[in-house]
Amino acid sequence: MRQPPRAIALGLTGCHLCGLVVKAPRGEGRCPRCGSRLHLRKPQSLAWTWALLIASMIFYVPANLLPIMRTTWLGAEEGSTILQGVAHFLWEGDWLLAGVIFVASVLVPVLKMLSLLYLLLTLRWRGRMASRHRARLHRITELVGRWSMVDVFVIGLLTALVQMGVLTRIEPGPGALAFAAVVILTMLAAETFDVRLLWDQECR
Amino acid sequence: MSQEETNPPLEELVPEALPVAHRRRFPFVWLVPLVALAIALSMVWRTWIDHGPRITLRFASGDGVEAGKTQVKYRDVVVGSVSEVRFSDDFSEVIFQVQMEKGLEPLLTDKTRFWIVRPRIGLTGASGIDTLVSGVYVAMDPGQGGEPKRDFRGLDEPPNILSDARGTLFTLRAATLGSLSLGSPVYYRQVRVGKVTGYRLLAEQDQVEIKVFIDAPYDRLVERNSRFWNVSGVNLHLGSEGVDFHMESLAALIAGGIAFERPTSLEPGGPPEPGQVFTLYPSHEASLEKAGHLRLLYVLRFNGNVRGLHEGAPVEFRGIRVGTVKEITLARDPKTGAFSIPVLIALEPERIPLAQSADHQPVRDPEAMRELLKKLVARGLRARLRPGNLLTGQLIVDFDFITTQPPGVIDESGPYPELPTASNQLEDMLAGASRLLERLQALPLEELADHLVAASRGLDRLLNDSALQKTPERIQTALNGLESILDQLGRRIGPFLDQLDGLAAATRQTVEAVRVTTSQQGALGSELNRTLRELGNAARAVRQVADYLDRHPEALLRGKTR
Repeated sequence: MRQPPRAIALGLTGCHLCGLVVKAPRGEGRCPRCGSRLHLRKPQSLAWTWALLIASMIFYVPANLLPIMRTTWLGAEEGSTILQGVAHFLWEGDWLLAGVIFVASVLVPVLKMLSLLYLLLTLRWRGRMASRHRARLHRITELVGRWSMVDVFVIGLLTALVQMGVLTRIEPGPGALAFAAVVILTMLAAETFDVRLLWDQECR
Repeated sequence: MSQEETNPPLEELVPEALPVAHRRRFPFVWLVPLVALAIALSMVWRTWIDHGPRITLRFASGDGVEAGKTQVKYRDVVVGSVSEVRFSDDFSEVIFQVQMEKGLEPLLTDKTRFWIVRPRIGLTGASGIDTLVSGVYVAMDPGQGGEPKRDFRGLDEPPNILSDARGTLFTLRAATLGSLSLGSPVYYRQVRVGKVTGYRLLAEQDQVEIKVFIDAPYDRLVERNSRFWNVSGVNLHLGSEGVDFHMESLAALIAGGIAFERPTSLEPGGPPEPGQVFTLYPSHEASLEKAGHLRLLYVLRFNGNVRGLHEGAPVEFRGIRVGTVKEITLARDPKTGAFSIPVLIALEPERIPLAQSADHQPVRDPEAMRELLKKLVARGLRARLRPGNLLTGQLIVDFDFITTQPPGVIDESGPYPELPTASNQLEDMLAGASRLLERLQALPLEELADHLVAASRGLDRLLNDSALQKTPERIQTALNGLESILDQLGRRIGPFLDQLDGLAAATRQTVEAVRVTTSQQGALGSELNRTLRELGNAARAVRQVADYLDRHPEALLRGKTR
């Protein structure tokens, strides 16, 4: 099957802002209409994605090891990490809630980071998966990523709602901060990943 | 339209990009993972590594302490949490691993105490109620100073005094504990100023030692001569003055309590000595009487009649009560067959500071008291029976220094040491008194008075006779009659005066006898004195009349010349 002509081969590029097609053989220059900088691909896309992904992986360690939430119940303070919370609900027989928390807080971030890692690695060492499938993987990653913030939202809500002075109090732990950092960094990493690099690879 | 037909190739329509200076950009993005690494490391450091000290607590019982949940509090502030609960190797103790907060190292010394706070409901109040819902917690009380320590033995009971409580601990001794318990209040003028912090039975002294803690600044109210007494329960006294009902407070009624006061006393006040042991009297009245718990038992052996001596009779020293008669029995010496009456007395040396040490302190140590008594006996101290009341004839035991007899010794062969006694002085005194009465009875006072009255009547008749002035013969006869009267008077006055002399001597003797007896006879002695003085005055007046008549017989006719 004959491949359609590609803009990069014709020396054309689209302005990110106004969409004007401009002739820029080296992929450099300024848009004659809106003046914004032109790029053939997202600049340093791979470096950004790699850096953000590594940062999020670093944050993933304290996010799971440090208590994400501190519950003070009549003067007795209790901190619990994500996995402790999941185990707590499992212990109590609340399978559904345990499942939701596990999926949203453990599975999704891990899968997100793994899929990004897979995409980055296949760009370097060609994988078997077709670029279409990989593009879909990226789409799903981007879509699902923001939903893992549900944990952070729950903690934020509880902190605001459960402030009953001496009786009971809920405060975010240091783990919550790390977890929020993981979610944000993976979202940014997915954002900075330029999917077109997948096709570039196939055409090479 | 032609333009449309002659569409230039697509490439020509596309505008050229404006040139831009080529920049080499530093890959700042790699700073992101570096910053992330730094932040994550600092978080882990703060939470895990940068902790306060880890300590070990040993308790006899777990008391519901849970790992990861139970907290350690100091002044109701969380300073740590129990991270692990396990048994000791021999299962005799429960060991808690405790993660303390940062910066608490100075508080963890060998003086620091830990205990588990549980809800407690006592008679004087409830504590630790918050733990009913929040679960138990471990409380700590850091001591001042001391060596750093990380391994602690927990207290089974909460400490009674926290190390930062300001005040003073005092030691009391009592015969019985009363209804006192730990935490029983101590009152000063019915204001709660302290509490009982401990007690123990002193088996050797057969007493109870009670520790009380008086909070600052009230601890300064305790002076060397302060008296403590038990205010537990209700004090109901039925006496001749009516019913006296006294109760310190409702809490003291239930939980017992101690009160103290600074007495108005000759005893030296001032701050108490270090280690001074105070007496806890059973009641306020007892504290006023200083009827303490310290009793020294002695036996007195009397040979005479002890009629009038009862159990409970006072034992006095120069009129000041120092003890009580406990028991009176009859004993017979199996060898000689002689009867004697051993009297058991309890000396209460606290009633009076019988002895004072060099710094004018009352001796409260029983051994020192016994030593002192030995010295006093060597100086002539003896016990004897003395009438306590002349009308009822009741006897009391009186101690005094008897110099007419050689000093006795304390016989320690019996179950109780035996103090030397002296003979009863009552007989001597009664004999003297009866002799005096006999002599008074022997005086022919009435007869004398009758004669005097008859003489004055005769004179009266003589003077009123009108014939007297006319006839000198009558005068002569009258003078003769007068002479005979004077003769008669002279004969009678002679022995009277002799008797008066004897009476005066006997009176002097009696007065001396009365004077040597103790103050109890003061009233009787002074009465006798006055009577005798009156008698002396009367005798002197009679003598004056006789002398005057002797020198001026005409005075019978002319009256006294002035």
